[in-house]
Amino acid sequence: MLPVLALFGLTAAWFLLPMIPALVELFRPTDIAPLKVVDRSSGYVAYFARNFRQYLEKQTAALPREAQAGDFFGRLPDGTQFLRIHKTADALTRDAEEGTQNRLVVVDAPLTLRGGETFLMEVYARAPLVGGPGAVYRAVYAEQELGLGDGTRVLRWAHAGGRMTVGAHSVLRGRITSDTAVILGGDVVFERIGAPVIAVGEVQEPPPAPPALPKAFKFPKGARRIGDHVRVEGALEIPEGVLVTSSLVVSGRLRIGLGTIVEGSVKAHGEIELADEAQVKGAVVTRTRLLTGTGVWIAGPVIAEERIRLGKGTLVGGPDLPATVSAPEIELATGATVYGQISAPRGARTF
Amino acid sequence: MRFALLIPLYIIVAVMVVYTIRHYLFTLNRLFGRHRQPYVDIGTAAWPRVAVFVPCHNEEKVVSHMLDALLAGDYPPDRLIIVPINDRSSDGTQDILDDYAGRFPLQVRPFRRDDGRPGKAAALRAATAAADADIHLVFDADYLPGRGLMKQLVAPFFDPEVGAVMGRVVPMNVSKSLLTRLLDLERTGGYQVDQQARMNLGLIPQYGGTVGGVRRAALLDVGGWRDDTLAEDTDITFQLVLAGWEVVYQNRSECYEEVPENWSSRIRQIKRWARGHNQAMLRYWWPLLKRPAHVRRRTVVDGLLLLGVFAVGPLLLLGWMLAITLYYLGIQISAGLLAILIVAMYSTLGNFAAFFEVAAGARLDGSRRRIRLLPFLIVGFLVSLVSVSWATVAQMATFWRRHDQWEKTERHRTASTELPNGNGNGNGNGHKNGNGGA
Repeated sequence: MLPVLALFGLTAAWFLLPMIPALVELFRPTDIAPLKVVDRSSGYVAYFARNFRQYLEKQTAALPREAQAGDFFGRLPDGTQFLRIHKTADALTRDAEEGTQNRLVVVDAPLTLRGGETFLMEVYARAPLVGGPGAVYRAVYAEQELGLGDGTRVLRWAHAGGRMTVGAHSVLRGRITSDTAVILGGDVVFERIGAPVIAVGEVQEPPPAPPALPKAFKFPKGARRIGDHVRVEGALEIPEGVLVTSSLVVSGRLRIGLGTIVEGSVKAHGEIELADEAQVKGAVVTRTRLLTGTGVWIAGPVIAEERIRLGKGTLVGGPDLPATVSAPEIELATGATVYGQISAPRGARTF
Repeated sequence: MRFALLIPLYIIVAVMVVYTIRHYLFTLNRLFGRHRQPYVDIGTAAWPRVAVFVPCHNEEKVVSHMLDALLAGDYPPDRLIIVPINDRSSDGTQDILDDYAGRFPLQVRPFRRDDGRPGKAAALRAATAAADADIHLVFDADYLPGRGLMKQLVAPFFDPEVGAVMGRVVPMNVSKSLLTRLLDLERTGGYQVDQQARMNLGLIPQYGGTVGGVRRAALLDVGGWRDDTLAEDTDITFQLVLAGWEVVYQNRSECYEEVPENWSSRIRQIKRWARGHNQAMLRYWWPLLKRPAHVRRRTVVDGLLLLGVFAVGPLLLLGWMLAITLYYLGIQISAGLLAILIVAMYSTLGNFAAFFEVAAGARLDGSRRRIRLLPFLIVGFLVSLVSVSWATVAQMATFWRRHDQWEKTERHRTASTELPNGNGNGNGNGHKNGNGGA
């Protein structure tokens, strides 16, 4: 009888084994807080920059008077070493090893750097700052204009209250923002940029309305109106110089011809190609790739699930039409201009 | 006799196996597949006009928190109106809504109903005409949307094919009881794994009736909210898909909700879901099977499985009964078949597939310690199994009866309830009676 009971007990214990951690967690909970809901601010493109500014305002407000003016080496109330530059960049070289600065740097007067510096902590510029070539910044917050020289590397984020110019061959990791404009050179690699206007080289303006409306496009047989758009099964090629008066969803590939105007939004499950000077007054969405020619204008957001290539002088949004360009990979040709935001988690590149 | 019992059993086994494969497919997709969220980075745009509908029936405990949270949102105020729908509340809800309307006349425009068919679906249908905004968002009154949630939910509508958007529901009263902790795990599996996997695979994410929205043009295209259903969310999902619209899920568009804190409330809730879902199943399985030209085959399969999800419980019980009956009658069935049934039973409602989903979801959320409660989920599943089966059988017995009453989940919030940070509390808009104890 005893062996049977023992076997029964052993089996029961084995069966209940998974209940032990469950019972412990039930009676001594260690993980009962609601899941942290992702607040939109974490997706806000200037989030880290704003947080840094608030942090620094609090810290510097608590500094003694002698630390508030002139060149100064010291510590912030939280113990962070900092360097204030009031007159020249010479203070930067003091105690710095081979151009590597490991203090938080506060720039109080207009400053032009020689180049090649490495800033291991944030740079905060109250006055215009012009960086030299080959500099490495952990992060930069500039209240006014910010110039980044050729071959600059930003590791986390950069923000400028004024215009930000980025030299050729630079690599900008993280979030790059400006309250005014970001002007990119050639062969610049980045992930996210947000600014009222972002341009590769010269800023483009939306084209004027055409003097006469082109003739209306006739949808192919089998096209079906669904609510506020027309749906076409298969591939669709819209010829040049016509007017499409509705939003459009295409289950295959879509090509919009030279100078054609679409008055709504377009979506294709396949690739979308917009020929030169085509215009879409709404959004452009594709499950694969988008290619645009020269001088294309898209007024709304642009979304691709694989890749976007904005051709020379392509314009997205407008001064009163903020828009986002979003795809895992993005390429922007010279003159491409986006009024709003560009997001490319796997990387964007100018060419 | 033998075949009359065996054939249904074979069918049930086959159905269970299909659902098991579905669970595993979704879980493996979430663990190893591409995470598809094409609209999540749209942060800057010319935002369309939005109307936010909040159906209310005796919601004085919670509605002020909800309105505060919406008013604290970052959606452009000149593009937003909030339409709380007071459907014959008998408590202080109307006073609270009047107060908000007085203080925010441009944004809060209550819609009052004193007659007509009761219920959320009918309330939404009646109020739709009150707002001509391009996008209609819908929240339940106990929800607490975060500051940026409205923009996140509106962003997918820039895609002209999108007819409805669903966000993720996150329980906020997790610590209240074992039930709330189990529901938290279930939600994790349901949203983080099931819904997102459907989004990844291009299937049918379900519009869940709250933390989401519909395009007005799409709503009008399908004839508006149906007021003769208990699950207007499932209903609109299938209407839109059949009409050629896309339903999308945004995993990052998270919103807190209050889940039932006691079993009786939970049982009522799941019975209502089951009845509503079964209504949709009866209504849409055939139109879906006929497959309109724009609907892909895999969408049909997924849609049928989604429609049948609340039929799994009764089927499983039937399978058990058949197996036991065969045993009592001395009819031998192959051991292999029995083994499949057992495995499928466990994998569908028991230890493996659904549990695997929940565990995978918790892992993706980075909340690994709560997975320790996983064995207790069997309690929740058994309660659901019985409740759903009960509701289904009762529905079959009374299918001719019209259902004209508010099916409302009990609210548990009190004056001392601590609300999650940054979600509508502490923004200075608090109603004079908005302490939950009014």
